[in-house]
Amino acid sequence: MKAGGDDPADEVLVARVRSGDVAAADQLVRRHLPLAYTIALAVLGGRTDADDVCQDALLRALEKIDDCRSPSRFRFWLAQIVRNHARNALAKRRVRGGPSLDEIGEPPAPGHTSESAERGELRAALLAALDRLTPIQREVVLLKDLEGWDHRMIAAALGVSEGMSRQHLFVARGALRTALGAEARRDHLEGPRHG
Amino acid sequence: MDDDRLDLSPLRPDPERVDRAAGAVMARARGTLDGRRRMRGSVWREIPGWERPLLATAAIAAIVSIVVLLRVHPVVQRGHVATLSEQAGVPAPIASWVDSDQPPDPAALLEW
Repeated sequence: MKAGGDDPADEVLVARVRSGDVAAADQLVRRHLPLAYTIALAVLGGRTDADDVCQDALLRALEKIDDCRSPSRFRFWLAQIVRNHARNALAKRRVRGGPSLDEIGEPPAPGHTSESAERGELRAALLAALDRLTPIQREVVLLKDLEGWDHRMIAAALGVSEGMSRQHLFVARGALRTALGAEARRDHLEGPRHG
Repeated sequence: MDDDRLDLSPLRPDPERVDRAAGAVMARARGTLDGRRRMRGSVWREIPGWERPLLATAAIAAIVSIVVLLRVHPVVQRGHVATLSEQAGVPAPIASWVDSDQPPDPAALLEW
């Protein structure tokens, strides 16, 4: 990630983390946590599982920071770690055969307001719509529309061609629009579900 | 600008969530980072410990070098004081030209 203003670049932070700098590690974690979360979400499709995987992967990255050969490309290296962790978690979930923690339900956050409730509903609708996509479609659309990556970066990170990345994006956006449109129509017909 | 872009921002973790997650990661990483700091500190502490062995090794290397140089290029040969050119191992005819501080005779050059 490009460092803005006085924010040190990733390679500077990585060098400091290698010498045990806690503040640098904290900055690196906060900077890349949203990306890690996005990738975990793309692979797993569930928020709480994504949280756990994201944290485990970030911890792993800090522990194995010496293995990061190109510190300026830290985010791509981290993305790969998150992807591997998420796939392992997915495999364990399948073996376990149980529902994900999100399917069980997530407790409302403290300070729950009508605005956050509305945002929560929107998020739930988006998650439900994303769940209909394949993992690679989810990852492409999230990296492009949420993280702002271009197709060259996505293609390199996912090991596909830029053409395939564009195709996945096209299909994913179409499917999401359809799913969200259906959700909106259902809400309109059924009325508000809360209150 | 991409006009087809979807607004997926509700999926982005809110700041409180980022704080909680980052705090949890940092709490678990504390031991690893402490270990890295200790290891780094111990490297600098190790260096003075290597001072004596390094000095001893350097002294032995110097003695061996002097002995070898004296055997290969004896400086003093029965009252003859070796010139700098001789000590450097320059061939005798060239050394004499260098020591005489005169340009070599073309005939002597051809002969050599």
